[in-house]
Amino acid sequence: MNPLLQQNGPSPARNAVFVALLVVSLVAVTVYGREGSTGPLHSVQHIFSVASAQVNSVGAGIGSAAESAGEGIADATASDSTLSALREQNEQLRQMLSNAEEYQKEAERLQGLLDMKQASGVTGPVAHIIGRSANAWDQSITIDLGSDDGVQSGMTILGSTGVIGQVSSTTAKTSTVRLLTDANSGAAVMIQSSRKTGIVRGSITGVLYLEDLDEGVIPEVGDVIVTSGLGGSYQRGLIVGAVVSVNKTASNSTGSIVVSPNDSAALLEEVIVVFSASDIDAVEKQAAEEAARAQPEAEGESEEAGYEDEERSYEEGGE
Amino acid sequence: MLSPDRVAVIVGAVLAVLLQLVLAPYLRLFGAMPNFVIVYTMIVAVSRPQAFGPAMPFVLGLVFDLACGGPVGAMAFSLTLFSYLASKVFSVVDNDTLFMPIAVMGLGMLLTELSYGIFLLLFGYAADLVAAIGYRVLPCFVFDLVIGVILYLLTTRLFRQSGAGHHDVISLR
Repeated sequence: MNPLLQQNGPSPARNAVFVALLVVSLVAVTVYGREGSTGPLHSVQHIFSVASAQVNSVGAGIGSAAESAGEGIADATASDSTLSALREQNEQLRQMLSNAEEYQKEAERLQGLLDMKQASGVTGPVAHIIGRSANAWDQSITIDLGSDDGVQSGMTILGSTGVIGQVSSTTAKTSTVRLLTDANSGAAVMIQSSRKTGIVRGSITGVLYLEDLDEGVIPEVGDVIVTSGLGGSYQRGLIVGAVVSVNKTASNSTGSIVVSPNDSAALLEEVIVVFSASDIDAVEKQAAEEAARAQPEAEGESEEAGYEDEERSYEEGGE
Repeated sequence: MLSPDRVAVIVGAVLAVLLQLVLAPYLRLFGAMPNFVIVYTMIVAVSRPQAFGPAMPFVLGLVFDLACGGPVGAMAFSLTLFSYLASKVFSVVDNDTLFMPIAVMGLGMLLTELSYGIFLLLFGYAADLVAAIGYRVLPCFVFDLVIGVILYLLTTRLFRQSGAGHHDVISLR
């Protein structure tokens, strides 16, 4: 038996405090549920979330610092053990190679984001992911841009290959992004080939489901899903993912349609905050115009090449 | 003036919150992540039940609710209730074996995770109870239990080695 419990035992005062704290908790939960997002408890929570975002970003720093420290210790051990100039030089070269690889990876990631911006015609800044949700039930990330940088709630967030979520709240310097895979997320989408609209919803399993399609519309595996812009929550024409399975059930004529997201936030370090996006029709029209413009040029080039060949053969024949 | 025992519990509580904010997000595995606040509260509930009574779990739960999102008061309620019950149950069933504190601690963790999940479902979390239990409550509970057992054994051994407050710590047999 625990001696402390035997000696002291729960006093009536302690029981009273216990009951009082339970009541306070329940009152807080009730008030939180009834008040709006501008209520006092939400405001206090917002202040705490700002502070926790700062602590969370320190975590990312600690992670990289620990990595650097580990590398430093490994380097120090190597030079002590060998005492060889050649080995030291080797370590330096390795360090340089490691740094170069890191820069290369970062450049590739940023190039991917740039390509995505150009391909989808979006405008907006690149943000670094500085934190991830500390609650298992919540799938969100924190980025290092806030309202001071023009970020607003509801803005779409892009990874290097597609939509990953939406800004759910902002502070002056940071923003919280609710990921598309969160159980409470949803985006109005359409099947790119058939233009039929539906809703992509996240789930507790982290899988995206395509729901609310028109009766009888069954997409095929591989169909690309893009945002439709309906409801105004997400910018139109941005790639969400592709259909990976369609399981038709008796209870649902369109079945259970699983969409594989194009991008996983777990692997990302930078994202694009979409300030504005070109309309998909405009983008497609522009692409068609460019293709049409490119065709005569190509034909012209081939004609020129034909003339050159003829001239060359004529000259050869003359000789 | 706070006793060294209480200071240690406060320092531990601050560390638990920091670990939750800084480390836990990077330990996410198949959607589950450990909850250091729950782990720490349950360890205190079975090893130092009278150190702070219901106040410490309440404050820790409230800080979790405010800093990590979710309905304010949900974790505070769950931690206060189940840590109190865990310490009460443990005082009755303790038989000076290693199994009993771990079993009580584990039960407290499971009920706290379940209670918090139910609160979230009541607040409109888009999942049914079975999925919530299968995909969040149980995986998170397993994560909590593994870390809880490791930390419990470490802290118990630490207190035994230092000899400080050895009468408060469960003896291992």
